[in-house]
Amino acid sequence: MANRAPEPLAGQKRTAIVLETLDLSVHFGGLWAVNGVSVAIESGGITSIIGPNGAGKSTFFNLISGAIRPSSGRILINGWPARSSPSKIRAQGLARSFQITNLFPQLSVFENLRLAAQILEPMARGILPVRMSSTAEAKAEALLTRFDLAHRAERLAGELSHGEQRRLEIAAALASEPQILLLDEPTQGMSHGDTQDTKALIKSLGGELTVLLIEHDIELVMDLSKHVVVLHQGSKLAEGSPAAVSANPEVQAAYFGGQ
Amino acid sequence: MLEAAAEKKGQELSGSVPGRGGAAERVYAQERRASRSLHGLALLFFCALAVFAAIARAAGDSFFLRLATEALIFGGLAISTDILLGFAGLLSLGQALYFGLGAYASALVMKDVQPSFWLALGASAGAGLLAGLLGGLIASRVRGVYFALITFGLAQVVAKVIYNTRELGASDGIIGIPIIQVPVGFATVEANSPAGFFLVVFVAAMLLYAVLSFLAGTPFGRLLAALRINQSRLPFLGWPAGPIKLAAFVIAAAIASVAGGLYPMLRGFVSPELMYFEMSTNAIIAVVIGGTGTLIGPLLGAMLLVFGKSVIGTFTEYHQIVIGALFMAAVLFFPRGLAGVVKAQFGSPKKGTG
Repeated sequence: MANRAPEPLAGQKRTAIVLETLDLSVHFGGLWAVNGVSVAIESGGITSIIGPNGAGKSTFFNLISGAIRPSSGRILINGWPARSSPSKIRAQGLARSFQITNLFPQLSVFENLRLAAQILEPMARGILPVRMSSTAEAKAEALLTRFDLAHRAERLAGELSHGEQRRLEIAAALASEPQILLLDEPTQGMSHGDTQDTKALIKSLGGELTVLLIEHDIELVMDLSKHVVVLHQGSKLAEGSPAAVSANPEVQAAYFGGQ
Repeated sequence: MLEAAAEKKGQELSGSVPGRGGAAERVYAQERRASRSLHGLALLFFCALAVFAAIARAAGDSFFLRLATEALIFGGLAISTDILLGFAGLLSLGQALYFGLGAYASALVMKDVQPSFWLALGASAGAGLLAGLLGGLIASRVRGVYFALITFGLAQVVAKVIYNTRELGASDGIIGIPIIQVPVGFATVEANSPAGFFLVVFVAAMLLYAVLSFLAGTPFGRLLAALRINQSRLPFLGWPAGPIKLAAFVIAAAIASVAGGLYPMLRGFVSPELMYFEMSTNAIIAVVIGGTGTLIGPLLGAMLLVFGKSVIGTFTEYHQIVIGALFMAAVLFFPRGLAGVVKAQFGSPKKGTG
């Protein structure tokens, strides 16, 4: 229940925009890490945020997920103002993964997922034996299978290989059944084979929910995205279809030009 | 042997088709093994204590029975410290504050209101919940060294206030607490009967262990572990860290308070020393020696500490130096504590390669 996003007010314009930022900015001291970014993300599919290092991509994610507060501007989730903390924003239906793996290393792989799915359970089950939380358990098992981690279920998350930890990182974000999923460089540091598997996974996720993806692998971005937003020095440089963005001379100068 | 075989079988199965519920079953089986080793130790501990008490009673002893009772009461304070340190990963340097408040509340009720066991313990629990809520609202906002400093400061302030309050006996504390009758089902036990009151506290300690072991196996208990391991991820899974910390803090405070409430029943007096820094640090020492996050460890540690002090104290008045040296040795050579060693020996899976 906690998962369901509130319906927009009656009479309000019904749109398929699930996530919107309006003139979103944040500065750290004198540096405007994100500067007046306005984007509207439509429901479903994969939208990628690209840009060179330091363009403000991860900061943009941190703003949307409530990890840091904006200096100015607004964030709307399903037409409603984003609330003030990560846990409340998760309740609005938004979940995220992290660029630097952010798991519970001393807990088992299964427990990492079970814990992440616990939010699906009624509060009262919090003080009953763990086994009574059957929804969370089933969710964790389904994710273990889907992310090919079932044979690792009882291992500690910290004992997994890098690629497995990256997969678990995505699975944990997915466990709370979000409507909007932010993936921050999910394939970072993965081998070529792992990247290809993960790519297929992300593609399948795009068919189920709205995915926002930060990714450096341009080939992957171009193959998966329906929409691409280019950030450069904290500002939005361009957005559009993958083809339109890669043909944009400004983008080529700022981003592709360097490669 | 059987468990090893079952584990091997589980690993073989996991390679092929685990089937519906396979992964979860394997994980639960592993968790059961880990907790079973601690429950075994707890059973051993309580049985040994019961045998000791039976022998002491048959020998007509009262000193050691009372000492064991005091150690169990002090064990309540140690367990409350362990809930914060071992489960939620929060180091409280002022847990004795709640122990002392409970002791004063119980003493005041018995002396000035009514010499009733349940009324006195109820007052202790109430005082602990209230003070825990107030202290927790302040302390749960921070973590790490700041949490330690805030809990330390709170305890110092309240101890000083009580030390300077004439109505509470100031530095002398409260003496002349009447001997109460403890109702145990159909009969009553006099609080000054060494074996009788030992039994009351013994049962309370077993109940406490059982309830907290249960709590550790609930999603709430798991959230505390998650808080300890990686507090920053928790909010992104939908759980704000503050309220979870606060809940742990209030529970720990209430347990310390109720343990404190038993103290004046045993000793007949309370004094500001009960909430001093030394009490808080002794509780931490008991937790670390016994095994952090094991629940039975703190009881074991408290028993060792209280008896150790008493025995060493008959040889030298510098017993704190000996205790300090033992504590350092424990940290250096058995960082997981006694119960932690048992758990690692009998309860943990073999480390995987991948």
